[in-house]
Amino acid sequence: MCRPDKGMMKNKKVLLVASHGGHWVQMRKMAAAFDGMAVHYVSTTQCIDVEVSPAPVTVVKDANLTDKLGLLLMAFQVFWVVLRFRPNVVLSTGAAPGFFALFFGKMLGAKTIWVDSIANAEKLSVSGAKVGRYADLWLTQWPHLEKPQGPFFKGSVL
Amino acid sequence: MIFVTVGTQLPFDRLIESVDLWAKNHSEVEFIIQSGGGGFNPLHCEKKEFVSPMEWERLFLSADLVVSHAGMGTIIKAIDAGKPLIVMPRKASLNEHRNDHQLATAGQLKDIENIVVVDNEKEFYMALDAPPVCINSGFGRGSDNLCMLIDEIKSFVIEGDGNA
Repeated sequence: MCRPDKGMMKNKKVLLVASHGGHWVQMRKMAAAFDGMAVHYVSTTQCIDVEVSPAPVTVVKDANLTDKLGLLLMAFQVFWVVLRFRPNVVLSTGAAPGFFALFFGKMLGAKTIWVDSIANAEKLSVSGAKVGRYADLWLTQWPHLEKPQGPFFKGSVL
Repeated sequence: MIFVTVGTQLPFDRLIESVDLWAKNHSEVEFIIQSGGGGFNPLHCEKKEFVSPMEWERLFLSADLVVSHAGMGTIIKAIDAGKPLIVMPRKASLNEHRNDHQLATAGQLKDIENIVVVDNEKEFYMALDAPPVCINSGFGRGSDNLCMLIDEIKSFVIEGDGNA
């Protein structure tokens, strides 16, 4: 069993960010860590509303490195959410929206957590490798990808 | 019903063509394909390019067998539900993805009873003829790993709050 909640997690605002698909499914499994806190989700499709209701969801543009203009728009959207919600904690499993969320979250004083997708079994994702300097807790889900300076292995969704 | 799903990022026509060819000779089996776009139109299966997450869940749960690319979303759901799953990883050499991370992911699935990984059409047909079976898992293999991860995140979040 997971450790019981000691009731000291209240009054925290948590921003959980993931592209839809595998990143989202993995992040949802970690949401149990934030029971009782005010959680706000960011993803790339509106359809997940139902799944997390009544928690609010902000939808941002889905884009990757091949779409620079899209990335810029997404970065702005993510910045706006972080600015308005002012989270105490930001967590992401990827991909690009999560990178920006940690970047802006760190800038505005949040604790930041990156858990690289378990799909990256041979090396970190592009976002996951770049985000290390902005992640207060920087994790991989594969023991063999752990390095002394991070990312660290502290469990996985499987 | 067999549910074929390849995610929303990229098409995977190699898999869908193989499915359609098998379906041609197995008219007693119903196939529903979520194709993620792609140019190939199956003749013997129902194709939907994209489905909503709720519809996806419904198709996934009602399927007797699921066939997919090596996407972690589908794989995690299959492990959690004990659902029989045939996985065909995308290959960068065939322009099916940007890199070969799906081959690496699939390489880690060997010990999971309800999942079979196939590399090519021939192996795929063998798997369809003798599909993996449902297991009563209820929760994912190695849930200790998940607890460890959640505990780590919890500790980190309350760290430095004074009353921890």
